[in-house]
Formats: sequence, structure tokens, C-alpha cells
Amino acid sequence: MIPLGEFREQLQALIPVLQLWPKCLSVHASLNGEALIGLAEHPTLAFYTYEFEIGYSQTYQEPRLIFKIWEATTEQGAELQRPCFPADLSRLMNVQDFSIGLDHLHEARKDSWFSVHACDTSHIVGSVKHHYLKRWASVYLSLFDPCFSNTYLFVDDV
Amino acid sequence: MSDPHLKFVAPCQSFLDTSFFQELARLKLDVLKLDSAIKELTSSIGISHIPRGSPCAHLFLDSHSFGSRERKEGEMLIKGSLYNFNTIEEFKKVDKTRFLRDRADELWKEGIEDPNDCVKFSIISFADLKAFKFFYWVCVPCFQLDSLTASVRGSGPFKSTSKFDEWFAAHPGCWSCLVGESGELMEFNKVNSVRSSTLCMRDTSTVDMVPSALAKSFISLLKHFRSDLKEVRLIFIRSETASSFWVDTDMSSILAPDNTKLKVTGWERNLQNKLTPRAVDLSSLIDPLHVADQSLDLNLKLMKWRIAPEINLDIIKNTSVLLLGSGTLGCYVARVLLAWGVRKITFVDNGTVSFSNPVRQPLFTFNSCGKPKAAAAADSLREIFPLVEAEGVELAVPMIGHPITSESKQNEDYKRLLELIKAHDVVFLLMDSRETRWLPTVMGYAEDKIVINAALGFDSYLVMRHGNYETDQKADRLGCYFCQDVVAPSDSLTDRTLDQMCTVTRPGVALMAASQSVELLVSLLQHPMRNGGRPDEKVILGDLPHQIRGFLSEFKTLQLRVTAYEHCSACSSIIVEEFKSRGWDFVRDALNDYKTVEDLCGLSEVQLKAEEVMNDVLDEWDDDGEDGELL
Repeated sequence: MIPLGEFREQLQALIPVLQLWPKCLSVHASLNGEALIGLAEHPTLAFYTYEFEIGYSQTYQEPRLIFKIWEATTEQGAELQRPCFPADLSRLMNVQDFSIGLDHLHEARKDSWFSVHACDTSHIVGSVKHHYLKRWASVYLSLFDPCFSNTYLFVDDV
Repeated sequence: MSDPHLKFVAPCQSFLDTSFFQELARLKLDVLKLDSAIKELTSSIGISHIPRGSPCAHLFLDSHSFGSRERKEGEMLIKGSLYNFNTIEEFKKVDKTRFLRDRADELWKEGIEDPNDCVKFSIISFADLKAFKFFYWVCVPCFQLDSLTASVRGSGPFKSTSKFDEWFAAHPGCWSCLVGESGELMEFNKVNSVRSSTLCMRDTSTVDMVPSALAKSFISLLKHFRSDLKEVRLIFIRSETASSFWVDTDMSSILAPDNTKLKVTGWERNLQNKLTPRAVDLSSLIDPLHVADQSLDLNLKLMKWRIAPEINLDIIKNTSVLLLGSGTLGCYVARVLLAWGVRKITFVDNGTVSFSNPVRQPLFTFNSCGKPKAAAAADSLREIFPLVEAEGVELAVPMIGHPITSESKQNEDYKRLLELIKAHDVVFLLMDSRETRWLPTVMGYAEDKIVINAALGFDSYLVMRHGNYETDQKADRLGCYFCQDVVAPSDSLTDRTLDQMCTVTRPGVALMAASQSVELLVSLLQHPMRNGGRPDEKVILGDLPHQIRGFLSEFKTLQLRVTAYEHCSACSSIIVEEFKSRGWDFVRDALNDYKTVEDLCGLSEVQLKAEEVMNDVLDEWDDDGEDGELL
């Protein structure tokens, strides 16, 4: 578990890490500064991108990862992006043992996102608060890119 | 030989949040309607958090872009305009080259007044509000005087950025500045240009030693202000200071007098690096039904991915189910079927919701009382999951041993029941009397359907699947609900008291029976031969029992197996074939007198033989004398 104040501090330190991730297209803080919003390309499939948000779950007192998958096609001469709800998430993502539901209603945008359930987070990440969020990211962001943790090879302070 | 001309990278990459389109849709519906007036926008270019994999900074647009906003650290505010068209044809017909040139001409004029105003963006768009699709194309016009050529004389990394960082921090609205003769930094304008030949710009590019195309606009303005300028040092300041650099350029080309003809670039390339518009389809996000559909599917698929990869979910989803009886069992069975993803469920009942029903029958509420049960159950199921194809049919199932009172009505009910059974893959018998189950059992065999039967006692229940029908009755064929009877079902309701007519059960019994009956069906569907699966076989989910009997008093269940009885009043071949050949005529005879069925299937003879054997036994007892002791 990680208190909200600690989470906010460590969130800013996560930005440079995400910037070093080769698949990351963009990352910025939300307007209220309590979440990071990013876009990442699929590691192998050119027509898919992930839109993700790293926020905080008050219920679990853990980081909360929600995401959307976007698929690109062509329609009427334009490159069309549409949210993708694949019949088999494991075909697109490194699902592993994560429990994922299409059950998060975004508070601000009022649309539906996939969410990675936060139970067992402490068990996975460990209890040490120092660099908690970086350790969390090294596990949870591998959902999008199995090689995400290689990013840490270029991070000085881990 | 390296190309001496200065190369450029696109100034930024746009990211439009879904909230931008939602706000556009709202504006279009509530404010703009058919008005094509230009809408002013405010956005930001993030210059500090540029990921390694991105060649340039990002232009972010969301719902707040339609109003004013404050600058945050690490970003530059940028103004823009939205040109929304009312039809896709208008959008497509826009002369993109002319549009870009017109915007560049506007920025040129604004830049002459204040060079920092020459950085703006424009968006052309079309919002298809029926399909929730939005077509758009972003441009950030970057212009260069047509007669200007800027060739590179030298370049290198620029390390001493602190002075410039401080100046830009103090002038957050400035994209550029000039370095005076004494090294002082000053705003870039026409007046200050006479004292400087070093132009410094914030650079939105991340490519090594290649600036963003915004530099073209600033260089052109400087040359316009100082047509005599032959050499210029350009300094490009980046947030990652290590990549800031300088370039010395030769600007000795002579401009034609009053030459303001511009070369323009600026339409954004798509992710495939092609010059085409972009579009976004938000129908699945805005349509909650679609989201609910996907969500239910995903829930089931998680089970498949994590626990049982071989489970066939599609066959469950595509199975149509007929529920005969919309009471306690019917309601619970429907809920579990829904949870398994079944999408077509039909309720049949001839009753109305009474005041005692809602507490035990979970599809009904107090407000349902008085309504036809089947329809109310279907309505309720649709409220839970709108995409389910739920229908309620008010129909009285003709009952064996209950003489016909209105032949035309009961014939209609018979035909309707047969149609329903034909139209569904699975039939659940969930009624509250034995005789009601007889006709659907016969029909189920005749139409070769999967039939699941559930019946309740006070603290016990029976759940079973009827065996497959075969005309040549094999010895090990699984039996039906009536296979253990030596009498045909008959009227069990007339001249009975209320407690004798109603099934009184412990409230938890129905729930257990209903859930097990659905799980039995789901397991059956996993077998390649469906109901042909034998009780000694296993499927991915486990056993395939024939019968499950539950005893709540002992909290235990038993799996049982009953072979088909050759004289069964419902599933014996003689009965099923008689039904197939005579149809309503046979059924009418059975309704009027259950004995016709007993005669046909041989039960009468069995009963006669049983009576004879009993008489023989009694005669033997009599021969032993009156004082014979019964052990």
C-alpha cells in the first residue's frame, strides 16, 4: 500500500522513466496532478496504441491502472482510430495473471476504460515505500510491453 | 557531400482527447448547430515531457481547449481555430493547399506585428453525430519566404543555455528572442532586429541537430525585418539542454522588393506518415449498450483465459433457451443463464405476479404485482442487461389428465408451445406440477431438444437432463422425469387444498436447484455430442450427471442415473411416434383421459401384472392362516 501523498510525490518521478520507454508516444500529468496520462504504441502491431492512466485507488490505497486500446483503420480516406474491445485481450496484451475488467467509468470523461484490479498489489510490489511506484510500474506496465522493465537500465536512480 | 540546406522536423504532433470530441458534439448540438463560424481554441504544446521515441513536442487538445486555460510549467500555450463543416463532402472538398496558405498569410501579418503570434494551429473538422465519428485534420502553418534560401555554414551543440532558460522562464509567452551586440537578450521584433544577428528560439524538435519547422517562420520574419542580413546565428533551446544546438546560416539571398510570397508547410501527417486527415470513432464509448455487451463478454473471457482455456463460450452465448415456468425456478435460472452470457431467453407462464412472489422470485418487485409473469420477467431481464433478447409468452401448457374445456384455445396453446420448442435449442421444465411437464417432455423428444428438468420438494430438489431420443430403444438410454413411474401423470390439482396445490419449499432450495440446472446445461454444451454425453464421461468443467438430487436437511447432493423405461408414459418410442404421427389428436385424447397413454405405452398392462402379483401374494398370506405373522 502507498499513501496518497507519497503516491503524488513518486508520480512525478515516474515521468522521466516513462519518457525513456521507447514505446511511449506521450506522457503528461492530469490537470489536477493526481494522475499520469500516456499513450504508447503496441510493441509489435503497428495499428494499435494504448491510452493509459496511472491514478490512485482510494479503496485499495494503491496505484490504479486503467487503459483503452485504440485501433487504426482507414475510412473515407482518413486514418480512423476507434476504441478496440478485443474478443481475446491476451492476443493483444501481456495479460499474464492480471485481473482485468471493462468496468471503470472515468470520473471526468464519463466513458468506459479497462481497469487492472488492484487486489494483490502489495503482494506483487512489496511493502517498501521507497520507489514503490517505480517497482509497481515495472510490473504493471509490462501489460503493454513485456520489455518495459528494460527501461530501468537507463534510469539512474532506481 | 552533405546537403547545405537547413532541414526541419514537424513542429508538433497532435493528441486529441475524446473529451475534445464530446465537447465538440455538445457544441454542435446545443450551440453551433448549422453555424459554420470559426471557433477559437486554446491548447498547449508540452515542451518538457517529450518521450524519447517522439520526434517532436505534443499538441494536446481536450474539452478545456474550447475555453481559456492557464499555462502550466513545461508547456507553451498556443492559440488556434476550429473550422467545422456540416457535411463530409464539404470537409473533403476543402482546398487544403489554399487553406494552409490563407492561414499562413494571416500568421505572416500577425508575425510582422509580433513574431510570437506567428505560432498558431488550425483544425478542419466534420462531426457525424449520428455515428459518433469525427473527421479532422490539424495544421500548424510554418512559412518561409519564397525567395529566401538559408544554407548551413556550421553547427554544433550549445551548452550555455542557462541565460536563455532564465529569459524564457521570465517570458513564458515568447517563442523567440534576439541576442544583442553585448550579449543581452531582448524580445524579437522589428525594432530590436536592427541590433542583432543572433536569433534564439524554443525548439520543439527532439531530433539531433534538426530544428522544428517553426524556425522557418522566425527566420523569414527576421529576413523581412533585416533584408540586408547576410549571416545569422540560430540558437535552438530545448528542455533537454544537452541537445540544444546552434547553426550559422547564410542568408545572403536577395529578396525581391515587397516579396512576401510564402512557401508553406504544416498539415500534420498521420501515424503512417501519410498526408491524410484523421478520424475517430467514439460510438462504442458513447453507446453504453455496446460497452455493457463488451463488459459481460470480457468477464466470461477472463474465466476462459485464466482458468479454463478450452471452455467454449460461444456455444453458450448462441444457445437459445425456453423457460417453461416463470416462478421461483424460472427467475433464478434466467439470472444464471444471463451470467453465462446466454442472449436469447423466452419465458412462458400463464399466471400473474402475486404479492407473495417478489420475495422469492428475484425478477419481480412490488411494482410487478398484477402483471403477467412471463412478460414481467422478460422486462426485468432486459432492465438488467438490455442486450438480452428476452420475450414473455402468456400460455397455459395443456396438462395430461385435465379434460379439455375449450378446444380451440387449448389447440392454440398446443401449437404455440410446439412452435416455441422448435424455435429454441434448450427447454427448461420449471413448472409447479407433474402433469404440466408431460406434454413438453414428449415434444422435447419429438423435436430432439435438450430438456433440463428441475423440481422442488420442501427441503430437497431434483435436477436432471432428459436422455436423447432414439427410435430403437437401447438398454442404456438415459431416462426422463417420468421413467420411474408406473402410472401416467394425471390431475394432481383439482379438489386439493391450497397447501396441497402449492409447492412449499425452504427458500434456499430453488436457488440451489436453479443454479445446478444451468451449470448442468453449460457442462453438457461443452461435450461434442451435447446431450449425447454419458454420465461416466467428463468435460472441461467436470462431470456430466444424469440426475442430481439435493437434500438440504443434510446439505448433501447425490448423482444418480436412471435408464429409460420401455413403458415410460413420455419418452417411450411408442408415445413419441404416436405424437409425431397424430399430433393434436393424440394430445387431446391424453388430456381428456390419461389412461389412453397408459394403454398405449403398456403401463396398463404393467399395472395389471403388478395387481396380479399382489393378488397372488395376498392369496398366499390367506393360505398361511389368519394368525400368520407379517414380518
